[in-house]
Amino acid sequence: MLRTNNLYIGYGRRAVKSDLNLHANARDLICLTGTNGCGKSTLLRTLAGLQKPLKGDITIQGKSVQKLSNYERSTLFSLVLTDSIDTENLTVHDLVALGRFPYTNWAGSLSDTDEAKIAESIHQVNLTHKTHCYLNEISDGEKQRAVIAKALAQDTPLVLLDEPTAHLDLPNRVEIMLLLRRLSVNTQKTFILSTHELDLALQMADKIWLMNPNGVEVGIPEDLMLTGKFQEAFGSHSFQFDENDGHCKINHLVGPLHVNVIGEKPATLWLQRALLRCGIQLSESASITIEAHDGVFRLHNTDVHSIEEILKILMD
Amino acid sequence: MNTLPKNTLLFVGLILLTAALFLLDIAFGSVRLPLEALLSDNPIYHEIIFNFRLPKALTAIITGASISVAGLLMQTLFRNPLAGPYVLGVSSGASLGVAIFLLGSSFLPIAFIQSGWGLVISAILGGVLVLLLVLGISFRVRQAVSLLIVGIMFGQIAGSLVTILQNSSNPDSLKLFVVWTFGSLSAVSWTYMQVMLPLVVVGLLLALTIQKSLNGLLLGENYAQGLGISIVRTRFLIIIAVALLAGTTTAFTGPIAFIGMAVPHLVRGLFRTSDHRITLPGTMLCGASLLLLCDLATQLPADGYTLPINAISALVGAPIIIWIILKKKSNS
Repeated sequence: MLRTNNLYIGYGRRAVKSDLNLHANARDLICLTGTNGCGKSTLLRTLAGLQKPLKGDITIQGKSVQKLSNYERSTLFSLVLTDSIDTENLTVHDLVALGRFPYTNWAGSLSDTDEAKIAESIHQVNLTHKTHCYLNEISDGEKQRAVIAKALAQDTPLVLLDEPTAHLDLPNRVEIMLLLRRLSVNTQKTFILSTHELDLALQMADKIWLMNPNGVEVGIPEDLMLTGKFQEAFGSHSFQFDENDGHCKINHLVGPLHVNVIGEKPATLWLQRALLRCGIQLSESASITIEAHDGVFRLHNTDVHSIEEILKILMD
Repeated sequence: MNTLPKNTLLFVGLILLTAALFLLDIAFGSVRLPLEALLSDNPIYHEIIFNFRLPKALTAIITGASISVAGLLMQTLFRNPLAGPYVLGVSSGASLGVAIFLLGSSFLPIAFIQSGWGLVISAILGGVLVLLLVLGISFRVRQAVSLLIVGIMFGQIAGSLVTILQNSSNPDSLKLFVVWTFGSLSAVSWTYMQVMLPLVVVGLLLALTIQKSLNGLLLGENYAQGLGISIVRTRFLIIIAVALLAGTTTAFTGPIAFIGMAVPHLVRGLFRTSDHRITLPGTMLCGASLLLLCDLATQLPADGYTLPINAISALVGAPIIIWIILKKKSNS
């Protein structure tokens, strides 16, 4: 499907990443991730043909991207970018209709096939009820879905998305990722997206392209976790990935106080988090024990009804 | 698609409005004519109507449509609501070209000066020069208001150069130039019309042929490129079209303020769309009507005296700019 051969990317003479040999298959949902400034956007922009590779070659379905005409390129991949679309008086339908650009005649008039494709794309992102709304009347999450619908209407085997979840709140971020997951299964398309959302990427991606200072590590999320590649790439003193569930955990500053927590979940779970946040260490051999039972905490033989109160008692 | 009948109605309305204003503009002038003058074969009436008012009204239509379309093209190209031929200094550049031509060309044969072509070519070159400079700067300065200031500065520089030229030129050509700067729709005789009309028509046709790419550009250049649009080619065609439209009309009528910037906003508001298939013809009609209206207003004092068109068009256009800036502010 998509393949890069000895690809060098960067600006001017400075290569940000060199000698990349990556490939993507049909139906893949690939998350491109890495620290800020590691070259995610550069790679994505290069794949999208928005900037030239310094060296090497990108092929889609065996055809070299650099040799394609603008038209051929626009039928092979579509883009979802971080560029803001602030045009006045543009409806969701108008925006998605622009995705049909490569297929319409010189006047840009829409055929029945085009209209059907537009309606289908809008339906796929669940925006049918907003078809004739103006872009400045809908929320940021809906706007992002509209842009994704535009990419779908362009009817390309490959969709490139640059930080599609940036600037969105958590429910919308999850929604967009689930949407992409569903689309990659239903539409046979390949999705490549850059993202900072490690937790979401780990749970959704078929494959991760993990950018580290030396190059790009490729693999399924679980293998990359298991081999510690993630910790390596995001290597930092301030957090680590939990060995139990793979979620990222912050390394808190620790104080001298030790506490033992016993009892029922989830009360113990949240109590433990609160203690860690305040720099109180957990240890089974500690002299202070807190027991959680029936929504009540027992500390120094008195009942305490909230975690906030426990913290107050311990800190004094 | 329930928006189609509404747009058709609006278009019919605009066409009728333009036609009505066109007839009014012929009927009213600095000399009061009886209504039957239109049909009489009195040679004086005939002279006034066919050799003076008719070309003037036609010029109003052509110029209004041209500078408004030029404004629309520039707003799409710069992705900036405040772009327009007058505001971003294209008209000033054209003025400078005309000034260099009229004031600095005492050694050129008089026939060349009077043919109209020299005027047009120098205005277009001046306009293109400023347009390229502003375009170059627009890559560095994205903010709407900053670009506006840059455009105004270019206008000032061109103005200063014109003043310097004026100081060192002979009185005859100076008079010619000063009259030109007042801006007048009546300066276009049938002879000049033969030069102006074809150039403007080419410019308008060019704008219509690239309307699809213009729609793609609404999303920004990166998205446009993703849709298969050649940015370099489209940008080049836009500049050619703007230069033909704004340069040619400015050469003959003098700079006309703010209409080019204001009309596209009126049209987008009226039709509630940014689709160039609608806004291009809409802008032509709206621009033509607005300039006809301005021309009618210049004749309000009546009896042998008219106001300069530039004064009226600024009076109409400038408040619209203020309104847009205020609207932008409240949005962000």
